[in-house]
Amino acid sequence: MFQSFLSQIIELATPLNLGVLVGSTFIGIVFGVLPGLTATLAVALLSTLTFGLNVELALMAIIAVYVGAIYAPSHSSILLGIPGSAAGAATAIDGYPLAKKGLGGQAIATSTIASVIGTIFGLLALVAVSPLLVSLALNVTSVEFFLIALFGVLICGSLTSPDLPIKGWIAGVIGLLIAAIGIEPILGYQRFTFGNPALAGGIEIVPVILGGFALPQIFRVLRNEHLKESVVTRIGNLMPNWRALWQAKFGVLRSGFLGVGIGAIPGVGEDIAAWASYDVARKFDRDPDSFGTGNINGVINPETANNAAIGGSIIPVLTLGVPGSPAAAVLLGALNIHGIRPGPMLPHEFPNFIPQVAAMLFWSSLSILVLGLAMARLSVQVLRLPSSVLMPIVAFLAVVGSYSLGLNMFNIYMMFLFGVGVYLMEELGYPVTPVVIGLILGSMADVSLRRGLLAANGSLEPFYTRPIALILIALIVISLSFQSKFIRKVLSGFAKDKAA
Amino acid sequence: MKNLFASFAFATALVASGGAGAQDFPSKPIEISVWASAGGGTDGTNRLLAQAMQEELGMRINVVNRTGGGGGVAMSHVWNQPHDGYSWLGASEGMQLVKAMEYFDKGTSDWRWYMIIGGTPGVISVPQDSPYQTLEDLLQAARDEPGSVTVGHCPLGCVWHMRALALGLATDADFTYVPYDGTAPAHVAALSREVDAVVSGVGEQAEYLRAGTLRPLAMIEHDDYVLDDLDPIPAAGKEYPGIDDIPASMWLGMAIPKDTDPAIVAIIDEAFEVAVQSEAIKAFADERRMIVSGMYGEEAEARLQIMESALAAKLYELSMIDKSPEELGIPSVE
Repeated sequence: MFQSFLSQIIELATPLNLGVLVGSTFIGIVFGVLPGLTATLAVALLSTLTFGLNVELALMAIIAVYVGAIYAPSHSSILLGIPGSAAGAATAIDGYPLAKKGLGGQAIATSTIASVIGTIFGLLALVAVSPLLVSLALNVTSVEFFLIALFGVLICGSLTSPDLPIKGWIAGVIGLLIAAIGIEPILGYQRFTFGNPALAGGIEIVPVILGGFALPQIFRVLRNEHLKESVVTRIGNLMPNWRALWQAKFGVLRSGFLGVGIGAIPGVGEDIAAWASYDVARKFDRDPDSFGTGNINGVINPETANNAAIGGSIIPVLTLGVPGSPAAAVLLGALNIHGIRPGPMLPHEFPNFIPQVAAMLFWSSLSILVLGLAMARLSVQVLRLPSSVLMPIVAFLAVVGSYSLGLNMFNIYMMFLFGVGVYLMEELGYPVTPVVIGLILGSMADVSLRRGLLAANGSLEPFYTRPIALILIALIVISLSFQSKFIRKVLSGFAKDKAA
Repeated sequence: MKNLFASFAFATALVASGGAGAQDFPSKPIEISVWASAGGGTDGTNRLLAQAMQEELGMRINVVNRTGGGGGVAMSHVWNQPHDGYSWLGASEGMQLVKAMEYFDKGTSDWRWYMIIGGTPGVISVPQDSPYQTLEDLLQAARDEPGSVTVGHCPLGCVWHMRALALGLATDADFTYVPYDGTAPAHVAALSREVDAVVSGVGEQAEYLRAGTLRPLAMIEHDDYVLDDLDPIPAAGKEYPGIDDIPASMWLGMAIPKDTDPAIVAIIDEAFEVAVQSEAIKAFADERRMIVSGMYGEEAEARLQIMESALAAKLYELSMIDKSPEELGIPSVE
């Protein structure tokens, strides 16, 4: 497999292929940087545009756009505090404070290197351990999905408000409640839809992200226009922070594994990979309290994980025909259009196909390295625009991004509603991130638990008889005990401050 | 404003303004709003149809995905455009549930239907090492201990849910039906032993059946089925003809509002007849083991009306919907 991968790297390096690669990566980065234009949309658009090309060229374009669009949200997350997509939202928490300190250039360059490492991690997993990861995916049943979602929701507790730690949980519960809206998929009962067909399908994540992250930021910047304090003006040099990267080597490795593993689980994608690795990195850090105030590890870890998740999520697409993330679902559709039927027979019928995809990922990672660093200068130029010009443009993009999803006006209304709601919440000291996590994981937790119980005829047995479920329960218990310690530390924080 | 955003986000979007008569139809691009997301069967067939139809009509046809609301979003969008033949709905069997589930109030009798794909055979399978060797084994287990046998399928109300239900009712076996987000996750649930069996289209299962990781028990059809060089799969319908009590069958195609100008309808009909025979559509169908239909107009409506009426009646009987077919304005089954 590995040999075939190496020879594919060379075979793919034709001028035409590389030209398409660079062009597609560029499109991907543009989609990723602009708030609201997601990786899923970019992959969908390219799979339509490449309809007439041959399989190799089309796939090259789609994979490059995918990698670019997962990588690039970090630019806007860091420089504007507005994530380009859900996958980049975790990066904003520490990236934006770094940019405010004048280290934006360094943060972008470092995140680029982290993304390249992550992508390579993912492709190595694809080449080396895809059969192993398939068996992992097959061991993840509804019970495990529920536990994974529950584990994810616990992150909310660590994203707290400085004045009252419980505000993180409150915001998380709001997210869980929003996730309950729509026709629930087990019995088809309409929850909180008020007979409105637009609510029947549930609340889409993109308008919530755009409304929740972009609008409040725009309001704040415009409100404080004369103060200029929330606008990044200095970005420093564009050199990666090699020292921080080297010091974070174990963290990078851990985030790479997390990213691949989470990506390989069908239905769980790049966004959850980024959040999980952020949370884990914070727990393992020597100084967890510095997270959220501009810790470079808060950029390195999620950026490694979300790109590593690409290789991970392609594994179930190719070997099971089940997508690991929404963007991978569109990739699956594109493969179908080109007459490739992924599934258990693929490695037998086309033994070169998986190494070929891995080689495409390899070239894409080189492409984001070069283009990403080059375009960082461009992103920075954009930020030199006065905020009274830039912010309305971002608002426009947020509207376009919400609409482009399913071409549905309702999503624009949702975006405005959430924008205003979250702005008020943040003014009251509630963090927005737990709302997003609750929304992403809420329906997964709800449906998986009920589906798991339905399939087990109401028995709780799978929770303690399945090995992966037991491991997850252990992780949840460990994580909870970590958190209570943290909460205690915060509560006794005042006393400590005085002592120091 | 709407169109400004659309053309910004999608280079392929069009400006749908200004009217035109039937004599010069089509004089501007046509838009197909597919209710399902990109990459699936409904999307794929409509994209192929668009390519074939635009040759016939000599005008660009754009395909966009207007997802959400179980199809209600796309249906209400198309219905709210002028009924002038420039706005089509990318449709599938899901449209026959929209009225019953109250996602949108314009049902089968309000549209003119064009069926590209007219079905694919359904099959019930178990994982390779399942204790159930035959359909009877599985049915016996379900009869011995009602509810103990779990059957996975695509989302609630989807065609394979209906076919699984049909099999259970016809065979007097009390299954527990477990809905998944799609057919692919349902297959994985069977592979991971979360459910005992899975019901889906034979084309969707083909790769697993050929690899031997899923083992077919029976076709939920009246005829045996031969998949490549595997042993023929026996038909459950021979012993249990009641499987047709729920006449759900999969179809893919498109629709326009029925009250569109007859002169324009005639032009679309003519182009459809030729386009549906395109090589690309045939290849697409063959590869997925689906049957090309080409049925349209009154004939298609009659067939789909039976499906809508029967499904609404059955869903009401099973208390899966709140309102009776009469209250919803769905004609009763003959």
